[in-house]
Amino acid sequence: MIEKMSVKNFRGLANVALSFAPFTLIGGANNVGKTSVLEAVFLLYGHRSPLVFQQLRSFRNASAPVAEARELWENIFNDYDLSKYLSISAVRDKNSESLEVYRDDSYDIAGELTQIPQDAKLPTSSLGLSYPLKVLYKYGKKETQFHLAINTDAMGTNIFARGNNNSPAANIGNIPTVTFSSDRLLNTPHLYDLLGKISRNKQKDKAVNVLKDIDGRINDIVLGEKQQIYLDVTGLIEMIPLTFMGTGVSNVLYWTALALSDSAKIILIDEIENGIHYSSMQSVMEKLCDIGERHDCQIIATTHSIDCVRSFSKCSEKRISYIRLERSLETGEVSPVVIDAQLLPEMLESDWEVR
Amino acid sequence: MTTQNDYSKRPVWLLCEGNDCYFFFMRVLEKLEMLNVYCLDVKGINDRDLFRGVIKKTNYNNTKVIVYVRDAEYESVDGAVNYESVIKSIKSRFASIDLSVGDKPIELTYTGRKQAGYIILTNNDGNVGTLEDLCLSIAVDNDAVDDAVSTVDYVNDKRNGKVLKHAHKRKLHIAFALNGKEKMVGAKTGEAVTNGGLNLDHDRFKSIRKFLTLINECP
Repeated sequence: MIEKMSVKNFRGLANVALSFAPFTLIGGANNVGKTSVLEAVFLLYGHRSPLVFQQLRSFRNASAPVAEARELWENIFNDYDLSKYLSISAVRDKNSESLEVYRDDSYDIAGELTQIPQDAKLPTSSLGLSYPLKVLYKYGKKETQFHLAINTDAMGTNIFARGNNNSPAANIGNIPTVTFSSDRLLNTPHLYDLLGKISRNKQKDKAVNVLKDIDGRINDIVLGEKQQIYLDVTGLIEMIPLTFMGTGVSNVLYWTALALSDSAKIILIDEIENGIHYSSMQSVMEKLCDIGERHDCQIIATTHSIDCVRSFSKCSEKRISYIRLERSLETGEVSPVVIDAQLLPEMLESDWEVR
Repeated sequence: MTTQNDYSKRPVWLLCEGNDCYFFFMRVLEKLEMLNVYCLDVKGINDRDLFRGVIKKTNYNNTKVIVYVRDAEYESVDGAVNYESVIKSIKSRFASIDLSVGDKPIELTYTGRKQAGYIILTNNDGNVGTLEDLCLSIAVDNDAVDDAVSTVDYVNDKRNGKVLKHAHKRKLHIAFALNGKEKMVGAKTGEAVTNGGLNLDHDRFKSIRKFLTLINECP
């Protein structure tokens, strides 16, 4: 479990330190950096893949090709400033780890590329826009590093990694599997695989039980042909494709399947309330909290919803923590306000605004 | 529509001890059009104490002035109030949110970027008392107050030594009931402010009103 995290110069977060519980909910105004916190966790544990920057862009719905190569990763740096030194340090299972990402113009990308096999077919003429980054990951006393560079040619913009990021040696620290989820990003083939796994493990009933909290008519989940997922719903002659059941059902099923199948050690959920009716919120929260505990799966989620915060406050107080991110009017800096699990219900009961 | 979040953006926060105190001061501030002050209920000392939660509340970091208002009932022993213990208790509560206050009420002290102070409610003699004591002393209808006091005293006499507890509350609500205005029957202190049952220009309210004006104009 990730217990603490300190983020410097990542997106809108100039310098912020946070503590996490097994189930953490993050609130705060628009553009204060809630999603950026999730993305920082994702980058920390997803850094070995060169695709991580494209994934980070896709979390923001930025699927269009970049106009200039540098746009591919300048957006991860605070103030879009590629000269800044990005660092994410954390304490996980009582061990410290850190990820440092910074522009390294001293890196001889051209020299490296001459060693690339012919089938890579890289035109060296386009290397002026390479923007090499150095990525340094440390876990305890061990470290691994590699370089990333952007190459733009007639085929488009690509990221190349040079170093030992994919070697077994790079997997120091037993990096946990992490999944980012938002209602814009449901990966149906992935969910199909997860459901296959939990069906084999005889855990499917648990997932059905969670769905029943949202819609009591749901009796079963059925895996059909061509990776179609169907739901057996009382009163209907035919099974309904999951995609017809609304965002809330799909999202909750995805999170539940991730935890039940032990496929993610950390689930990052952006705007967890999306698609879930307030009357179902509490039972969904409690079940997620419970499943997370049983499967050693940490959940970090963001929200704008007071119903969501209220439901969350009723989960086991030993396992939850609520954080509101605030931006100072004077300095513009973002800082966390942690409301402990004992105080949160009292503040909510008095109708105090905590979001 | 103005939301609670909008109110909490006000630079001055008045932390009221208990529901009655909260509604009383909220209505007073409305009546006096003091738009820089946001009123909130931090509950009584014997209830779930929300005082420490104030610093966790949305927009707290942007406040300039924090004022706590309370009575002295909890620190009384056999009817006599230990003033020093009241001040000590207030100071300790402010210390719990990293603010300090002076030895006297109705004055402000700077701690870092914020000013802090407190109000202790007074009775008709100007001594520390309860909200109901204060309201009795500033009630518009003096005759109703006199009759209410006589009524409670009379009942006490008839009860063979079994003295009514919370006599100040009983007197106040009888006084409201005896007030000529229908809206005052069963009124809470906040409603009494709105319905004109309390005189906010009264000498006994002068120092509190002056302090409220000061904090409202502070930022």
